[in-house]
Amino acid sequence: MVAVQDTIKDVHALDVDKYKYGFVTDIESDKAPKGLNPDIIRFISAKKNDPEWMLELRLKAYERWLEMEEPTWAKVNYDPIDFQDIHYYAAPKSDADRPDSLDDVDPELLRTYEKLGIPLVEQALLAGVKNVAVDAVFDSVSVVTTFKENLAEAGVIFCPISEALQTHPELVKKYLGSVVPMADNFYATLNSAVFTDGSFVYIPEGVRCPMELSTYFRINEANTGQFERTLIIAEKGSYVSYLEGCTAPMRDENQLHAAVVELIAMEDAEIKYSTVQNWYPGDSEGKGGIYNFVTKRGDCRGANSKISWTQVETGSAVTWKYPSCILRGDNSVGEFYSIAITNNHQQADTGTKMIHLGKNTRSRIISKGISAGQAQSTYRGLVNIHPKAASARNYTQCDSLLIGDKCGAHTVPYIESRSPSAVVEHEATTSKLSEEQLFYCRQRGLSEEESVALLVNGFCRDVLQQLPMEFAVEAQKLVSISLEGSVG
Amino acid sequence: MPLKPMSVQPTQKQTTLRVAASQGDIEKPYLDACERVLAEGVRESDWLKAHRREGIERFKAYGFPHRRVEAWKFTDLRPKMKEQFNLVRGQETPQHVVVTPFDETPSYRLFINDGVFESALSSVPKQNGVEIVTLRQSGQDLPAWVKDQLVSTASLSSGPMLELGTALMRDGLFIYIAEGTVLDRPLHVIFQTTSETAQYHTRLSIVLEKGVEATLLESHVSANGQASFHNQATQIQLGEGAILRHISVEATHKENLHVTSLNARLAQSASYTAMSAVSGGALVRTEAKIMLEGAGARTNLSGVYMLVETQHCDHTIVIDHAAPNCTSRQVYQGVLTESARGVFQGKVVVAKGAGGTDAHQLSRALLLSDKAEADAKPELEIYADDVKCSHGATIGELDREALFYLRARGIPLGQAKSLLIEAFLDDVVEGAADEVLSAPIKNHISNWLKEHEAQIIQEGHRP
Repeated sequence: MVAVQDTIKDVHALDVDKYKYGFVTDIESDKAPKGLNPDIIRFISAKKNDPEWMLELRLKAYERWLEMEEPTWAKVNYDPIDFQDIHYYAAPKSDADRPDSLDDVDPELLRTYEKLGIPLVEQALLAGVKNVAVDAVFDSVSVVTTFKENLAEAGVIFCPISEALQTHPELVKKYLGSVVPMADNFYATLNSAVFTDGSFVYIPEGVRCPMELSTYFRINEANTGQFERTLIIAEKGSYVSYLEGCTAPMRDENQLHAAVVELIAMEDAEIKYSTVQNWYPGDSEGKGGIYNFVTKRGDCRGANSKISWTQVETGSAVTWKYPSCILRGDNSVGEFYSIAITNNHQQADTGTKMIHLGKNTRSRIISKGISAGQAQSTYRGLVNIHPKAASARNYTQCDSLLIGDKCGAHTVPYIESRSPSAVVEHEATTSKLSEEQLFYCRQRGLSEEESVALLVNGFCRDVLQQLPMEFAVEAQKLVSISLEGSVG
Repeated sequence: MPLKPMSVQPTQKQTTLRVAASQGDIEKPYLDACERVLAEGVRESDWLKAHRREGIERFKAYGFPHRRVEAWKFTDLRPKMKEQFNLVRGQETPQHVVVTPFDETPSYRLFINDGVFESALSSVPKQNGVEIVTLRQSGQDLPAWVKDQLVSTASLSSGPMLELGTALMRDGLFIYIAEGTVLDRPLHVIFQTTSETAQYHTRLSIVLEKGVEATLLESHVSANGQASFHNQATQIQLGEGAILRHISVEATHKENLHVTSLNARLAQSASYTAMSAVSGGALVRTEAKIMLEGAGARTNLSGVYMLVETQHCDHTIVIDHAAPNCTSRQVYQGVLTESARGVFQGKVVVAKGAGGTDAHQLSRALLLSDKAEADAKPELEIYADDVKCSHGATIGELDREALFYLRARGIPLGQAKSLLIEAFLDDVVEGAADEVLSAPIKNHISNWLKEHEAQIIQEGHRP
């Protein structure tokens, strides 16, 4: 019996070690009671000091949400979510008076960031030297925002959306919900009702954003849903690259995340949106882990605009995510580059939608799915060519790699074309890790795990190359970490 | 016959959809017809009556499919089903027999008129080891193997259309070829529609025992210009190492509805090659499920379609790799002009333990007009790691450079387009059958192109 106990302890220790960001910061939080009803929404709205129209929008979304059914079409299985057993609002105490400098910041928080590897202190010291602004989101409330001055000089607005609601309500009102309508789908509607924070980015006409914008999200409190709302507007001729990366502490109970991201690109504008998602995937038995139900959509509103999505999905127990592009403007371009790695009991159902409406619109989809352990990974995508989208062009490639005989890889593409001059091409392959290549690496003295990491990194190369420098290195490491224990 | 009856259990998801579909007025006339057939079937065995009753109950539970049923996403049958189709008795021998693409090919003709087998117009092979049974002729004494086929069809292809067919079928053709039998000619099953605005529900079942090799030709033609509704169920069962080539042509009148539920089960090392050409019908849908149950089984499915006006053609295919080292190929190519719509939904499922699977899928469509539409959904569902699976899909117009090349050499537009389309389609046909069997299909394609040259030129040409 004692031996068994020891084994359990050992295994547990291993799991904890494996997930190196698995710790919980103990900060008393300002929480709303569990459950969802109009009062909670009013509470959130009051906390956020929403304008009146925002509260109305939230309540309307809530009413629509009550009538909606949870979608069941995705190839994922999980225990039903009790939406009344979730805290819809949690904010660190320091919300009331924001710190003027890092000295005023809760040291506990700073330590958390240090463990996460965000050298905020250094960044503050080296301001202006290192060119990355971090709008660090800690449990739904932005705590520290840096490099604002630099951005302000260029005329770029980069702030928490709750702040934007105060300072630029007219912009938020004009664009919020214009890409993902309030009642778009079950999770987006829920988000519209209860979203607490997220980023707001506005790039004025002709401005090339002087630095890569990035936000680190982190879910900290147990039982707290994280409902982010991000809105990025790129005016005529502007350019912005936005990075989003996430880690979360280890928890046994499943945590719900339902974010909404809206991108708007006007004439000649370009938005590049990169994500590295590394939330807690659950332990090797499939216990715990984040439920990640995200609605991301970009609207190429003007001619010659471009939206590019790049994602590296290694975390979460369940992923349900389809970053899409609506190619409205003539000659607009949509891109989707994705790596989805699932190990142990993870499930990912992800892909994209490319809706071609304008003439000469182009889209490219490169998706790499890797399944190991008992994981299930699905690519689900739609390419739709409208009759008016003359000479539209799409190229899709989705490859799946299987490691082990207990996992699954699935491909569900929908291709609909109503334009004779459009050319739509789709290719997909599924195969296992090549034994010859593995043998070659092993023969040259690499360990099995190193070999697998090397081969998988090679398999993903097309997508990794699309990531900005800062992320590319991190992502390659992540690919290796995610597959630890999948062979041998 | 090594048949395991399976129980029919619609999944949970279908149950919820059923509620959404709610029994409408559309089903009512069909359910009434079911009751009439049941009451009239005096000569039928009690077993068959019970079997029909089960079909009715299951059809009631399903209702006609609609677009929210995933397998019917691109094909909406319900509006078409509102038309009143007469349930014909098919007792009169037809006035004239329509020409089929295989008339020149030496074969045993099995003639089915309005869903009823006509022995007078058929040439049944009289050979030991070949059994051909029809539902009507066998009356009270249904052989056990025919019953097995009926049960197996019901359990393997269960769906609303098959169940409706079980309830309403007037006749069925069952073919059994014993081990060691060699047929000297292909079997040619002709389905002809003679009565006006008729509905008929048919069964075609073929069993090949171990090592048997056979060719099955299938023609669909109509003798009138009225809309009819043909609901067909085909069951194919291949024993160890058996080989079946199955070539079908759908060339009925452009008002026709034709829905087929096809099911094939392949034992070890069996091979099933199917090739179809669709140029007829207002709405033609083939829903095929190929089950590779024995190790090393192979299937090669291909099809061409040529559609004009508002014709709608749907190929929905599921290939189930249940055993190791099986091979499957799918190639579907078609040309669409005016307001035609072509749908391809192909799914390859590789079960756990089905290592060594090699599956390939290809769907290509040519759009020749602004109003035509092509939809493709090539799906892979894989639960084994030692596999080689791939699919490709393309949708586009005729190659402009190739067209320019031909035009620059003085070939008129219509002819140039026809040439390119013919090459595009013949490619599939040549890959699927030998010369003797591919020649009739190629003729059929070439005749179609001649007849429709005007429609091909006038639409959608862009400088």
